[in-house]
Amino acid sequence: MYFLQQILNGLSLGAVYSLIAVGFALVFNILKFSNFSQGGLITVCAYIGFMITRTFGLGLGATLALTALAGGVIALLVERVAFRRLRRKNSPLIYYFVSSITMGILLENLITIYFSSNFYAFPRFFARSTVRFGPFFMATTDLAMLGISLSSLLILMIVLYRTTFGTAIRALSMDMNAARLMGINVNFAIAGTFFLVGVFAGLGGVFLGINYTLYPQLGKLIVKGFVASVVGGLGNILGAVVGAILLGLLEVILVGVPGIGSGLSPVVVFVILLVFLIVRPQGIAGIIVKEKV
Amino acid sequence: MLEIRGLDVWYRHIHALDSVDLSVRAGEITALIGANGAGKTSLLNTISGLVAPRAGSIELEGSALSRAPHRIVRKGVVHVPEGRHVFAGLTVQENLLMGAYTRRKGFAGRLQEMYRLFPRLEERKKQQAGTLSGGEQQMLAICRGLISEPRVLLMDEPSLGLAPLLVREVFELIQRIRAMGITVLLVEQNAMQALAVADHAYVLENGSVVLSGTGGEVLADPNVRHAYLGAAAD
Repeated sequence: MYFLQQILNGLSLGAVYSLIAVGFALVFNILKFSNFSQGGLITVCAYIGFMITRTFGLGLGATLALTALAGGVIALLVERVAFRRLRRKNSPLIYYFVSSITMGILLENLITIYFSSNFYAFPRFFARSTVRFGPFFMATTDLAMLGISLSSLLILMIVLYRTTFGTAIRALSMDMNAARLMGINVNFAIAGTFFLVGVFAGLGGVFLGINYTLYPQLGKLIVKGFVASVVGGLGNILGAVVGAILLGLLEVILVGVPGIGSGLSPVVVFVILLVFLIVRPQGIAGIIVKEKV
Repeated sequence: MLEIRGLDVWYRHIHALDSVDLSVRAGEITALIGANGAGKTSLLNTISGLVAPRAGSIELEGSALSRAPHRIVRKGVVHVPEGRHVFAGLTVQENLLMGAYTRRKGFAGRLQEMYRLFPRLEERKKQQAGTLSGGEQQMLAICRGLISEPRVLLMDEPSLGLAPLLVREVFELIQRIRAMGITVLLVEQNAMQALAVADHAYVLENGSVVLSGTGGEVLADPNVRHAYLGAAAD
């Protein structure tokens, strides 16, 4: 019984991680680098969400929608400022990596300057803090997190696998020059991908802000998304989701294991990451998805 | 149809194309032959916008062709690249959808036409393109180019790495494409067969055009026979 309860908690944590991991996977998929600017983006989005609720007193749904939109727009700016010139000059991948870290630090510090390093907390969104399913309890925000994350991931999958534009993004990730020869406007498709990344950063930022309170280094939690996307197989979107859910479950379960607890659970997580990198650097994606990127 | 004047292309310090003049007439097959590194692929890549020229002009029916690949495709100039470059992780049908990216109206009908042309592709429409054989991938690459109903098709080494029987099929197909009213600019290592089907031909050496004429004229040139067709100069 206790175990099932923990699985529920782990799932909702994993669902939030998967929002971050998917952002990593989307960028890695098309541009082949790990986009660490996403941490800064998530931080900015968390604060934007906070400002929106505090200023307008909106509910969770409206806050998420507006923040997702803002995240998308900021991600477009990030792509424009940090990456487009590099692409035009055919720069080596390490430049993208450096540029993404720089951008992440820049965004994080803008937040620190503007809000100082104080902690803020989101208001409570729900009158009832828990929902009961028979013998199980779930925090209402956890339930909302699980539901909204999973449905937005489902929408992403539909966009990528059932629309022409999504297929173009996948084609681009496989062979950029061939995609150009098909008449795909590569700049537009990459901008579209970054918009999607920003939308996910917006959702992830609000949820992380609700879960952990707001502080300028909130974005460091992207490490979890990074771990998940490595475990899932870099650049593989379905793999990233599976990796994130596994990571969430693992963390919650490890906390309950005597001798590990919340102090040592990150250690175990990183050991698992190292083992994965040694034993199966291509991630679990090879097993669950046939697609080779 | 396509008029290329004084085209100069550099890769940093390498002079890939040196003031190339070339015209492709409507409704014809124009063959471009030459050794490895002569600049054949560079020329196609420049026409399709993947490579920017340092100087020179490319005109399509009298007006300057855009430099952005997606606009060039919209103008009806479509490039089937060397080495097929099918999207390995997309299904056959998705590959064809990408081919029709700029002309999605009427896709279903043209898809059926392509499947009639190559029933093998229909049998494998749900299969990932990476699992096809080399010949099937080449057919897919060509269909992916044809499905947008181009006016000019640039074909880079379509017979490369194919078994002799398939090579013949590819050359028959190229003639059928001409019969459909599509202008073809064909780059080939397989000089003999390319010249046999070509209306006009150009020979490229070290980035410059060294010879041009009708397919038959170029085929009859003793230097060409010696250098590209393996015949002893007599």
